[in-house]
Amino acid sequence: MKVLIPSPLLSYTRVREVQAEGATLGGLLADLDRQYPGIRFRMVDEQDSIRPHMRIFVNGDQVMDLRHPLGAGDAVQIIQALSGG
Amino acid sequence: MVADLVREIDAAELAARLGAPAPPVVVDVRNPDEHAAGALAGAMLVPLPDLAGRIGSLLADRATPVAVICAGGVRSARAAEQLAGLGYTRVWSVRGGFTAWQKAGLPWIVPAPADGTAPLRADQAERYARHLRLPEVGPARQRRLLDARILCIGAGGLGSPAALYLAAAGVGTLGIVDDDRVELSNLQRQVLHATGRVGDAKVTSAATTIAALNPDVKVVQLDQRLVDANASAILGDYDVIVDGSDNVATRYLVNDVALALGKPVVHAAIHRFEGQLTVFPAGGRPCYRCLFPEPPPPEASPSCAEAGVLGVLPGVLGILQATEALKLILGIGVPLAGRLLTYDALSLTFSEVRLQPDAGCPACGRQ
Amino acid sequence: MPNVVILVATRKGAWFFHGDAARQAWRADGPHFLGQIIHHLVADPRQPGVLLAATSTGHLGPALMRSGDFGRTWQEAKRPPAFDKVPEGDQAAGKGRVVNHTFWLTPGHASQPGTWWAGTSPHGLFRSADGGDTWEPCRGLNDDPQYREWMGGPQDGTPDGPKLHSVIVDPRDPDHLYIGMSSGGVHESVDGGRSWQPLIDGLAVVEDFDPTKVWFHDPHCVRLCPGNPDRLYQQNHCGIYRLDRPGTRWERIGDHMPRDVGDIGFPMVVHPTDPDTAWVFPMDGSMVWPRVALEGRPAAFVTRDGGRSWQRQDQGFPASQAWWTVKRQAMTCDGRDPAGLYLGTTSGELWASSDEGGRWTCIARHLPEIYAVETALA
Repeated sequence: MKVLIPSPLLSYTRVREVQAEGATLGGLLADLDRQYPGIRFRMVDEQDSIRPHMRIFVNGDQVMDLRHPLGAGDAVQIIQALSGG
Repeated sequence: MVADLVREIDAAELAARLGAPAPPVVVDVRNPDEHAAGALAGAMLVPLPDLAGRIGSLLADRATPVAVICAGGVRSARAAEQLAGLGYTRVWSVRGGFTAWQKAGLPWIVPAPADGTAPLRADQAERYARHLRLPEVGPARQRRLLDARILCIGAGGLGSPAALYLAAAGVGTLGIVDDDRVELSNLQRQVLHATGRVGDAKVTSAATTIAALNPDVKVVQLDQRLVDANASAILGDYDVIVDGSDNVATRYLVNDVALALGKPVVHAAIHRFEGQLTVFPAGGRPCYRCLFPEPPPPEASPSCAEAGVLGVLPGVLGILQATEALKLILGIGVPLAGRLLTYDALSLTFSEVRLQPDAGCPACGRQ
Repeated sequence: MPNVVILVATRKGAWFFHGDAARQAWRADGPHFLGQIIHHLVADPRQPGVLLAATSTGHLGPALMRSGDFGRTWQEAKRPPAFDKVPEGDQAAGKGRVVNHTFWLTPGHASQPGTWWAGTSPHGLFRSADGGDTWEPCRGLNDDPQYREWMGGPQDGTPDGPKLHSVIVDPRDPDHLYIGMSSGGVHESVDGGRSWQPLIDGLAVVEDFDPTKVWFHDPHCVRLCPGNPDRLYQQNHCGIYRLDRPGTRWERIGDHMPRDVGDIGFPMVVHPTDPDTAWVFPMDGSMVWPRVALEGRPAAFVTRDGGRSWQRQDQGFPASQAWWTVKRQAMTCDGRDPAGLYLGTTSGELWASSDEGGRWTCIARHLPEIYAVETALA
């Protein structure tokens, strides 16, 4: 499925939109980490919590639980807190 | 076609007849919103759909001379035929309607709003004519804009376009809080300022530009940094807060103080080619802390100076902020509350995610 | 003979300064990792060209970067230092710990190539056996109930998070280790980190606090003398100390500092061969801890007799109105004779002395705030 990557993580993916698979959000992040080693730990800490200034949305709804089930047609968007003005 | 019984006259002839003895009664058959945006003095408003039913009681004497006017001359011709069919004997339709009348430079007024607020001046009616023509704005809500007070936090990348468009729209009082001076490197995006004003206080520079654009607007220059000690007093004076600040600490301060005061915040932030926009409604739920409960460390959010920013990016976001602020004042449309709009300039994509009020939010949860 | 390279870690990236044979001319190479926080950048003395960098960027989790070609290319560690995950359903004890950033890196013993130690914030000790690619928690410290109590939580201690620092490996024995913890004391292990004992006798704590409580002890920087591995020097929140093993009681050698300077500071530097020689960089620790050079006049102080006397070294530094200071990792020496000294300031200046502190020269200014300075040979 389609995953939108925020700019601080572009050093891993180079492109803003990537494809990854997984039956759950955790599985999807594991697949992303296989494709782009190291990317998962930048978003999720060792207690499997999403880091405080990253947010993950599935089909527009915020998801905090890595066990959240995903389907093939789902769209995942990763967002970071911005502050510039 | 216009039947023989009904004659068309042009605007100049109507003006002449109005100035002569036994002038005709002007019947304006446009709808009320069109009329409210500008009309002939003394015209009787009877929208076309109501004409046949109401005219008999308004004009009992069918020999009264009647000039019918609409926006362009089409509806007035139909109205005049109806009047002739009802037995009125001296009926004229104004060719080209109110548009031709205005083009001819003939005098007109903005009728006083039905709610009793002060009418617009003629120059205001002209300045805001395109607003007055929108049923969603009209003179009553234009008056509301003129009476509104909006606070722009920052006169930088976001604050510049936001303040310019809010001023152009006729927001009567614009507070601008910023303690920076204008630098040459600001001018790549901060369109409120000018090369000749490098070194000036940003709030002074902003006031100069806004005064030249729209003298209706009173700019309150707050040449200071928004801090804990002054935030309540400053925010408390305004109806809507437009947050275009350039650092995380101010954003959390704005969120917390606006929440306490019950003020809505139109929030935008930018980074390189990316932008985010949302509205935190009065009273929060959701507020900024529902999304990101705690400020990141200062290094987490490189400023525009460090990370760079495409100059036009804050233009897009700042104008969207102005749009949301105007909608809040006008009370129209659906505000971007509970939704976060993200914009990526490189791929030119807008997308939207839903924000949930967090029951455990340290700021707005379980009040 | 290879030349000295200064490794500079800052709040906004890393720089290398390549010296000539005389250590007089320095060529800047950088920025590397621009915009990222570099907590520590360390060369591996066992393997020329190998560097480790502890980085973070705030929004994202921390990362550990490795280079085998002296910074031309970098690879990210596959498993950076991270605490064990708390088992599901065991949340009653509170949320598991999360590494905010790796603060300190120490190459392992010469006999164990590829071994590295890392100290983190909040307090945690980690070990890698594969050149820093994958890291294991040192559970004998991190999970010991007594140490958990002494460590406290992420909100405790230093303003930007409690730090485990000064990880020291005895050059004679890979299993003999020392660590320092901000608001957590100095500790020793003789079994490779499986078990630990406090080493805090003789150390002062802030007035009115109980010195028998480990968590009131705040070492800033601990160093072991290469010229005599039985001798340790320490700059503490409350003074400068020396400890000669096998003794266990620290002696406050800061009492011999000039009274009007005092013995408060962060860095501690020991001579590469002479165990009687050490340097400190005092700062203003009065009242609210301004953490600036005393009276705006920066100076290093050197002892040549194990701390019995101290001499001011300020030749070349500004004589007035210089309000910077030096963080605990931002002062070091090279292994040359005479030893070269290097320090980085909170205001982004890099200073060097090629005569053991006799005269100081500013070799770079306008860098971001400097967090750590180390040397390497290349």
